[in-house]
Amino acid sequence: MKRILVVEDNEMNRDMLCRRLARKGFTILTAADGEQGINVAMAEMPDVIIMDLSLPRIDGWEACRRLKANQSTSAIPVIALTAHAMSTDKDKALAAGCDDFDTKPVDFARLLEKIEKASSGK
Amino acid sequence: MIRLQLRTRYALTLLALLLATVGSLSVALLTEFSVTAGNLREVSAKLMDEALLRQYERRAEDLSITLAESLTDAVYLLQVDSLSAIADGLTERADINAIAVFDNTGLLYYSGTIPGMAEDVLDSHFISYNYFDNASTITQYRDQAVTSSAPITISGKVIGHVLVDLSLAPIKEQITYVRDEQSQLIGNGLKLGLWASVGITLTFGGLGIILAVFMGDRLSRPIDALSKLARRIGRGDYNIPEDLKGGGEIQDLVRSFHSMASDLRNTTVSKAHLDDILHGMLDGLLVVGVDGRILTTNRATHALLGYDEGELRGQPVSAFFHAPALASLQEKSNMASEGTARKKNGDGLPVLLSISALRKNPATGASTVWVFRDITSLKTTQNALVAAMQESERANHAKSQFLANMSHELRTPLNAIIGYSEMLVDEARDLEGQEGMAEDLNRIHAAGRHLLGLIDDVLDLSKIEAGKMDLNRDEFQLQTAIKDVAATVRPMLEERRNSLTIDCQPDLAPIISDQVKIRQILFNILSNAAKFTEDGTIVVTVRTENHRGADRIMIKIEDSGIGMTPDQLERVFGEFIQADSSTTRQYGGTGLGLAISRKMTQMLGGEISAASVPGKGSTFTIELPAIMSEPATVTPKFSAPTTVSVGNTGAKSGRILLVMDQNPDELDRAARELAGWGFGVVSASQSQEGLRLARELQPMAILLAETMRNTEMSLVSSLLNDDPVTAGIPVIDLPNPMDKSGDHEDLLNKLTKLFPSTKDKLALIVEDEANTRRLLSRSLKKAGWEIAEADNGQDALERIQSRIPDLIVLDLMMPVMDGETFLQVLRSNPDYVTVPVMIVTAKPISAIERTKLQHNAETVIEKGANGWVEAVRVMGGALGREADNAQAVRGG
Repeated sequence: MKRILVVEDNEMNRDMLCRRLARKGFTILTAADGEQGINVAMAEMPDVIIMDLSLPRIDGWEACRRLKANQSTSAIPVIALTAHAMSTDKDKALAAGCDDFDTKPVDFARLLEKIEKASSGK
Repeated sequence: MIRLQLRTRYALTLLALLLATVGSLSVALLTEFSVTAGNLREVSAKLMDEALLRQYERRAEDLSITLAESLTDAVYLLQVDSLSAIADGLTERADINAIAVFDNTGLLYYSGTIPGMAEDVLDSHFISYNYFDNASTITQYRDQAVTSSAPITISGKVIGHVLVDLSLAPIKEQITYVRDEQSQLIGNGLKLGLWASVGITLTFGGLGIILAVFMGDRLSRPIDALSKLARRIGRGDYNIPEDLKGGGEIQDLVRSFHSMASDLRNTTVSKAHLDDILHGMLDGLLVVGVDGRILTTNRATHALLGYDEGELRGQPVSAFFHAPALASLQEKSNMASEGTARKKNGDGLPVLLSISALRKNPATGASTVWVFRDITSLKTTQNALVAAMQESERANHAKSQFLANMSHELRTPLNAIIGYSEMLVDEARDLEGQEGMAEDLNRIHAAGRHLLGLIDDVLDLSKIEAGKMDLNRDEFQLQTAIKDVAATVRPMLEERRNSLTIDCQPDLAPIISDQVKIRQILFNILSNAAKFTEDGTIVVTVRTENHRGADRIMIKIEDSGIGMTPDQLERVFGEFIQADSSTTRQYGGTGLGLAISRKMTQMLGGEISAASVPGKGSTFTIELPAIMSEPATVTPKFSAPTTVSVGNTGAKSGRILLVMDQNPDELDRAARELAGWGFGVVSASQSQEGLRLARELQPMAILLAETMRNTEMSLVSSLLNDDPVTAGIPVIDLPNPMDKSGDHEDLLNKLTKLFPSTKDKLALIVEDEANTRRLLSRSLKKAGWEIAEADNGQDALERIQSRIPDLIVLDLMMPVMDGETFLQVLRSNPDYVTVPVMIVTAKPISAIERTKLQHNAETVIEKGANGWVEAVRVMGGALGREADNAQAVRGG
């Protein structure tokens, strides 16, 4: 049973994502901001982190950077989610260390593929 | 007067002529007469003399002969007594001077004579003794007498002589008498003649006068008439009666008059015509002399300015007109410019002024013509347009912001709709007997997706139209993109059982363009093809062509679908156009796809075209440059309402700052802040642009953000140093980030130090509200001004008297004396007329009021809806200009 950490500040989005992923058989962990996300990640060591980039307190980029900087969490694949689809955002995300990147609104099937890819690549 | 003079002169001349003629004739005649008469007299006297002489001669002879006979006996008989008696008898006669009787030997028998005369007689008469032998009668003349001697003969023998000396004196007397008589006659004749000639002369004279008067009249009447005519012409009546009589020269004169009157009439008509034009024209016209003073003005000038002719004539024209570079306007022979005319009531009138040189006219001294047109309404319109434009720019800017925000705001709930509905569909499908619910939920999902598609498209289109759509340059393989897109549309193809063929030129090189957009365009056209074709084929053909040295890619997408009618084809790239509403229902889609595709293709430098046969299919052709051209030159990244941008302050003022930051948002914020402090700002997000701008504009300072300093692209500082043009420009670190909250005293100080000229500038703030005054004061101090304050117009006027400020910031609504009144008073004083005034007011100003105010104030800033902060920002920008202007004026 794969464990996924969903870091998303928007309640509805978080709810949708969690429920759908849960139905597909994943165990879901949640965090509502960047700081919480880092904490949970370090504590729970999930298999994949799905991180929205626009987060309060510490934004997604920074959180990602920190997770990748931290030895214990650096190996966890991070899939960044963003509403902006500009190439600069993409570059920024990858520069921050994200392993993959998807746009909102989420194409669930595509996201599942990416999760599959990310977690199997371990 | 003329008549009298002419007549008189004429008469006198004629009279004189006549008198002269007649007089000289008379004199001639009389002279002739008297000369002739005199001659005649002499001749007759001579004749008479001759005749009388002859007569006396004969008488003397007769006497001597008679005496000789009478004395014959006496002498023969030597009877001396009888001899004496006879001889005495003759001697008694008065006219006989002497008688002498001689014998033939010359012995004197008798001499009866005037004593003493005998000897003379004898001496003169008988020169030779021999004479006495002479038997003839001899008569000789001697002075005043004739002497005749006759021989006394008896029987033919001469026995003696008788001598008789007859005095000729009577002849003389007779002749003298006759001559006197004649002279008298002549005299009488002359007198008569004289009188006659006087009479004739007078007669002729009289006739002459009459004639002269008559002729003079004849002569002077036409002249008189002509002179009356001349007077009439002088008064402006050009009708000439044809009935002027007169011979030769008079006729010529009349003809000349006619022609002159006709010319004058034409000239008057022309003059009247010109006058009509001059005074009928709507534009004001002034003729200005060499000395710069007004010579002539037209009605429009009076109407427009409120002065009358008398008030303007002689005044220097520069007192009434103000235009930038007025001096050069006058020096160049022809120029046109906008300016301000001063009306009598003190208002400024915006005008379009043109000055042209006239041919120099020494008689009038005119040198230039000034024509001015009232452009108040134009200016008002212009201001309104500018305001509208600024407003629309603000609106556009606001809209873009809005759209950018909305993008996020719209998507978020939609995500919920799409996400949850999708999820619920799955859950519903899992539930037994809930297929209906699943279907319903599916519809919600589909609607959500559709809405999302619409939002995306609308936002895309808006972005493109607002010029906010970015263009990326990627190098990629077109085949790959096409294959990817084909894969994406596969489900749609399968849905209608269509087949897709891709025919791509095998040697196709990688192209440089915006990959994302090309994919979007291809996706749009392919999905359309798939949508409108059933059981058909879709062929994608890709070729390269070379147009004028550049490679172009041609992508043709041909389907065998329903096609379009000519009408539909015409509107196919229009927004929200689908074939008809039923098509939308049947085929879905937003109707914006092709509009977006076309705009995107155009952005890439290409074009889309469509062709179709209804019922047979459609062909869409995309044409693109294989290598997309570089984006256009950098425009300043922000355009604040102050219009403080590169062009405005210009290199001359030197108050430009170049800001470089790779982060566009940061760049924007920094630029705004700096502009708010009164600097002209140019921004660049790439080092190349920045260097270029630095070289071109030579700003006072370059502010580099951290990102610019540390990235490998920015050897900016060293590059700047290497180039001699930019080496001297100070480089300042831009604090990161430049946000609204900070005061940035440091930076401001640094920058202000670079612009020392803002010291010693006094700004007078005229504002009754204390808080506003503080706000304005702070902003001005920031920009380096010294501050003086006044709370109303009256107060301000008093302060000005102690020191004239370099700038007046004026509110309009104040007690005691409001802004408008203050302005009028200010402008009417020659000492203060050049002080720049900036009006900053909360009072809403109409375009017309703005125009009126603008002739006394340099800038008018309204507080407007954005509050004081915005207004102060605008003021900051304007202050930058003010400082420069003041600097320019001071020559500093």
